[in-house]
Amino acid sequence: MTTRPGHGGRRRFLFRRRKYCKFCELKSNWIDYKDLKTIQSYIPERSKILPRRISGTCSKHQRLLMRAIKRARMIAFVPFTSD
Amino acid sequence: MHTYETIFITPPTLSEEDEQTLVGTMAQVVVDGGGQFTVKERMGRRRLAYPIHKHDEGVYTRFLYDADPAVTKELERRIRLSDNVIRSLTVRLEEDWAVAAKVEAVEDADRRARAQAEREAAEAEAEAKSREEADDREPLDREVDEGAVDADDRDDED
Repeated sequence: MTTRPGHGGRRRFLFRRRKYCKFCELKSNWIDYKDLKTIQSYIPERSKILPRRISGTCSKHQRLLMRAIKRARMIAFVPFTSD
Repeated sequence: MHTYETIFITPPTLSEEDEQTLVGTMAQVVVDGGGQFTVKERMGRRRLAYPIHKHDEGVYTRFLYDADPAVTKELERRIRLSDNVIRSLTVRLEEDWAVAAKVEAVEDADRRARAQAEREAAEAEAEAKSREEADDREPLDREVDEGAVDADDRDDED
């Protein structure tokens, strides 16, 4: 988000885009652990799973996502940790 | 009967022959147990996200099949006993995921068949061109190069 001059702190907050669950949009009932393109966008630098409060994923899909990421870790598609 | 997906990783140092035997025996376990294969795919050599048994790379093989739970148990036992499998994962696909995976598998096979046909056509074309070139070497040299570029473009589109 860009801060335009003349708009104060509270104003900026109002302009924040509403988060939504990207999987609900697709109406998907599963998340494939082989689909690295999707999964990787929920794994930031430290290889942790991106929390719901940041990504906006709904609880159902967060659970599926978690499972997919953990499976992907098991077969070395994505790292457990990276430092 | 459920749909299962098993992926296992073999070391890249394994000879192609040994790898094929290994994959063959594993596939046989499924078939013997009355399983039905949808996909038996060599996903190829790829970098591991972390080293396993000092290997930085691994060869991935993917099975997608319908079978009874006992079959996966036996398959996993066999995989565990094998020294040449460094990691494996078996997953049961829920109903709609399984259906989607099978549709995808069919599409994949189609796409691969078409790509193969195109590659053969391009090869035949290139061969025809090179034969022409042999007839009249000088002016056709450049055209053959262009033909090669065309073939590359077509591959990308797919």
